[in-house]
Amino acid sequence: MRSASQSANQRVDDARANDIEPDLDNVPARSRPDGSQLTVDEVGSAIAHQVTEPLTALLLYLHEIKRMTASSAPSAALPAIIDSAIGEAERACAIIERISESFQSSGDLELAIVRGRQAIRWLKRGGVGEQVAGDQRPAFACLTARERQVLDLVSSGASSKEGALRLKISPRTFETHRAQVMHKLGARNTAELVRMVFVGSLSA
Amino acid sequence: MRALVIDDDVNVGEAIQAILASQRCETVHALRASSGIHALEQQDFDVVIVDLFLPGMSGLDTIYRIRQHAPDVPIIAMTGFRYRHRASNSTTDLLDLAKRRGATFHIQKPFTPSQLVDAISASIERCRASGPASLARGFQP
Repeated sequence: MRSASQSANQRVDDARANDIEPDLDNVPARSRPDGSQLTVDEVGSAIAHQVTEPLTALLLYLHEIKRMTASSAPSAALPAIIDSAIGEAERACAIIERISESFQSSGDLELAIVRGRQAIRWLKRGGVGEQVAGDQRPAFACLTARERQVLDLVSSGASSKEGALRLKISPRTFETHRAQVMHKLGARNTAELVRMVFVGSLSA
Repeated sequence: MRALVIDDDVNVGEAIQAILASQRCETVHALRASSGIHALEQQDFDVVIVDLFLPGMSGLDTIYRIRQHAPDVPIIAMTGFRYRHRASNSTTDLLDLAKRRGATFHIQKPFTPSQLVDAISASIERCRASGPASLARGFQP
């Protein structure tokens, strides 16, 4: 299917100089928006956006497979298998829709779009990956599992209330864990803690 | 029938190409807004399908630029970005904003082949009804 379509179609992907805004993937790291500037809601929306892309392709391919195999009968089980695959893809789409619509944007629509684009770019650069890598740094070894969860939430921009809600604990308990993390890692405040996670100063 | 797809996701672009190829529609896929606009300056298209979240120039700006260059071409805005706004209800606001910038029609990702084909037909029909455009050279979904 792919080779057939490629023969009749083209792709143009040369980057040209008339883009209005700079490509943030090619500017120094210090001037990019980092994860600490993004709210949990914005990151969540970006995740949902990224999952939607493969789901879009999957749905299109599955329907095309169904159409292509409708006339012949290579296997009696094939139609049922394909229907199941479409059903699963649609189920995944429904889950993503439920997740993404639970995120609320702040501010006006134009601002929400700009923030959304920042969040997507951050995620594409491996925002989640940076935090996973951070977990493996030696300085994290002194943290308990719960403290690492709290650190993940704090560094993704969650407030005490949001973090507490995610972990199903009280905001006061969340703040106690956060204080303990800061004490163990030597951070003077939350901003410094977040910066330590993102600039990698916990590797010592 | 010729379609220009502007989407930075390679796989989505290829999937749309595969679907439209089965509808006897030739597709040019641009990964960036700038290369899409460049293609539009060089060639004629019956429909342009633009993702709203692109690297570099945003999809909304892209639609505005396309509309300046080609006032009559049907433009379909698509996005997989969705959110719930505190004041209003949903992502339809974003797609409505795209329409105010010049999009003819919008479609929410993910979509099925029939939704895509219907969106193309509807956008061509809408442009045909609203202007003298000599569009849609025999697209039969």
